[in-house]
Amino acid sequence: MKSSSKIRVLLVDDHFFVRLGLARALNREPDFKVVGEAGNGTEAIEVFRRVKPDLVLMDYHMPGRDGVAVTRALLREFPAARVLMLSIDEKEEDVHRALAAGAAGYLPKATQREELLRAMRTVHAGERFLPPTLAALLTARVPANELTPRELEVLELVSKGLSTHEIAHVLGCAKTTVKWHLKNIMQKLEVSGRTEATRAALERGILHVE
Amino acid sequence: MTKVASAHDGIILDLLSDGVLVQAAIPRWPQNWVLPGYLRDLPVTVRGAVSRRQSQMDGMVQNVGTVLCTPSLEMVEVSPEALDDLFKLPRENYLKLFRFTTWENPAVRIYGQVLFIRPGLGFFVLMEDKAIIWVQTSLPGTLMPGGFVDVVGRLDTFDGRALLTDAYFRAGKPGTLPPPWKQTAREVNEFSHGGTIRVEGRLVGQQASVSEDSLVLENQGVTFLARLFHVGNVQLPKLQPGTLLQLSGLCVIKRMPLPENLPQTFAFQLWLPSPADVQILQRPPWWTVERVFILCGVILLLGLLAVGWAALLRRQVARQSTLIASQREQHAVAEERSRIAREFHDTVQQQLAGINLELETTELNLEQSPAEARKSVGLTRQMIRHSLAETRQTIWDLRSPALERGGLVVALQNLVSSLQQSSSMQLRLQVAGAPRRLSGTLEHGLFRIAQEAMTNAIKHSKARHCNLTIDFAARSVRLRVQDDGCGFQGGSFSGDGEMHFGLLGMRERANKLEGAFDLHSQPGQGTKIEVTVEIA
Repeated sequence: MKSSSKIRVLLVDDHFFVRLGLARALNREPDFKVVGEAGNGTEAIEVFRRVKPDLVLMDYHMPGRDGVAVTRALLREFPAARVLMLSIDEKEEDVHRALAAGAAGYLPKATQREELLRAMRTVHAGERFLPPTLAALLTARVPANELTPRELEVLELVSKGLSTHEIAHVLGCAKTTVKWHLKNIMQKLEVSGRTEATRAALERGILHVE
Repeated sequence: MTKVASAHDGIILDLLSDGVLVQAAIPRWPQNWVLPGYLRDLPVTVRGAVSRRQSQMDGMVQNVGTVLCTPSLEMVEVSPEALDDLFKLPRENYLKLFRFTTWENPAVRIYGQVLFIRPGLGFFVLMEDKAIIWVQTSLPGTLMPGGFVDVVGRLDTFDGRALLTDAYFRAGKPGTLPPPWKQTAREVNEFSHGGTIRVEGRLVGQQASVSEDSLVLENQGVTFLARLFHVGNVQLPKLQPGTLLQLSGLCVIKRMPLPENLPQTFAFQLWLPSPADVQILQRPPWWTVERVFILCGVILLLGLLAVGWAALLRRQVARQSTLIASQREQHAVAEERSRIAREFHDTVQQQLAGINLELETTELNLEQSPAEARKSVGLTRQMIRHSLAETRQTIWDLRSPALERGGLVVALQNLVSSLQQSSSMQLRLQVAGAPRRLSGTLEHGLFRIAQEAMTNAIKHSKARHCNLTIDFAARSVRLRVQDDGCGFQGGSFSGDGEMHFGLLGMRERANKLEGAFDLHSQPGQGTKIEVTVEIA
């Protein structure tokens, strides 16, 4: 197979282990070639401009701008770019966000090599790819669960262990307002307590461990 | 006039007029006044309204006598001739009075100065031989203390002293009394009776009735009574118990009648002519027994309150401290847990994912190319070693106490000196700019990079010098590790795998701090690693 017909891949991941593993896995395939690596979002866009890859394997969690933000920026500049999101997590909210940002697919990092290659080929072919389990999660995701930005702020502060009083102080609003937000958050997440709310939010990917 | 008697609230005088008994009734005679006995046996002219007294016997009304209704004693006039006769008696001095046998109550005449007047009762007279005698009379008349008086009365004795009763008197020329004799309460004795004395005493109590003010006083263990009789509107102001007073007045030894409600235990009485004879020498000390008790009570109460309050406060503080401590502990545990979770998520999981990928590659290589497979296994092992070291550091020695307490500069000093102990290479730390504390993550990240870079230099560079520089600029901090060792061909996967992993690890760490990582190295020209982190 001629090298010109190979799928040229850009690896974006802040962990060199992952880049290393991916590069070695892909480079031994006849139809893939790793043409660039980037450890963060800024580097990713720079390298993309330079090498114009056919496909970007994008890590979801990165210091600074995360994979979603980088994908969005990349697609704004290069609308034809194909991005396959890779993540250590399998959370419905993450998947939703990645796809909403314009990623053509989403894969957990623990995915088997064969499935990874299949996904890459599918996405390169212009289609979307989502493992059946994640697709099911996404379907089950209740749109009403969408928290408002303010509720997200409150939830984030709750997860940091702040009291209602402290949250009210940080957000500069009344305690009753915070309680109102909390009530809505718990309703939307279908939980009955603050701890449960935090756990649910982390599990679904509404919040991330910082 | 033959007889004086009291009846109801008035008095009745029996008069013999031409052998007929006529009674004169004078109403409203003050109860404590003595009767006007001086009128006895004197010829008088009485004016008044006549009323016949009748008695009813066997249906017959008979006249049994005549009663004169006389409004006051003023209407009873003693004939001037009889009075002149009375005052023809020779004047006696006190000692001569004892010539008489007193049970006969002979009429005697004395002369002297009025000492103290009690209206309706009588007055004390200071005789010319300095003796003092009580004259009992209710004869109205204008007497002034100090004024001379001519008295005729019936001699009597009371308690071994001479006195005149039923006395008639004529006021003489005015005069002045000798100044009061200053005495202490102890010095007062029988001889002081009737004398004008000045004495000091501390007020024990005060009592006021309609007729008089009484002061109970104490001096040198002697308790005595001072009395001010209410004549007109005179009255004593209310005095504080404990006040030291100086009193001038007439000394009266015991046995004279006392006001009601007072025990008969006074050494003597002092009759005060006027309120002006009571002078305040010293206000009572604020510290009265009562006040001391109240104050002690208040202090005790306050003390108890303070103790109680302190106990409450201490308990609350203890409770709060426990709460704070447990909260802090909880917070620390939560922080540690979230840090480990973060590390696990960020590093361990990611590294395992990378290793997993490499193992899959190895698996494929096993069949196709054993040589490649061997290389793969080697790389996998290297990855695991690196990951192991990193995890160990993450879990066990994340936060060196030096870093925690002393900050980055102190921690770097410790690092350099501890590395120096096991290395012949010359290590040096340079601090530039304005050293300050940075965020925990940043301090820790920079420390780990410095540690990795210097360890790398010692292990691989064969350099003679290695300089560590930390530069605190206003908006950024820069860490530089530079050696003069062998250097290497930058950016290639060839060469020492361990060193390469170290470099990639540093780059990853710098990336995590959102800092810029710069590596300059050429074979034979040493290595320079620079990390610059902007601080918002």
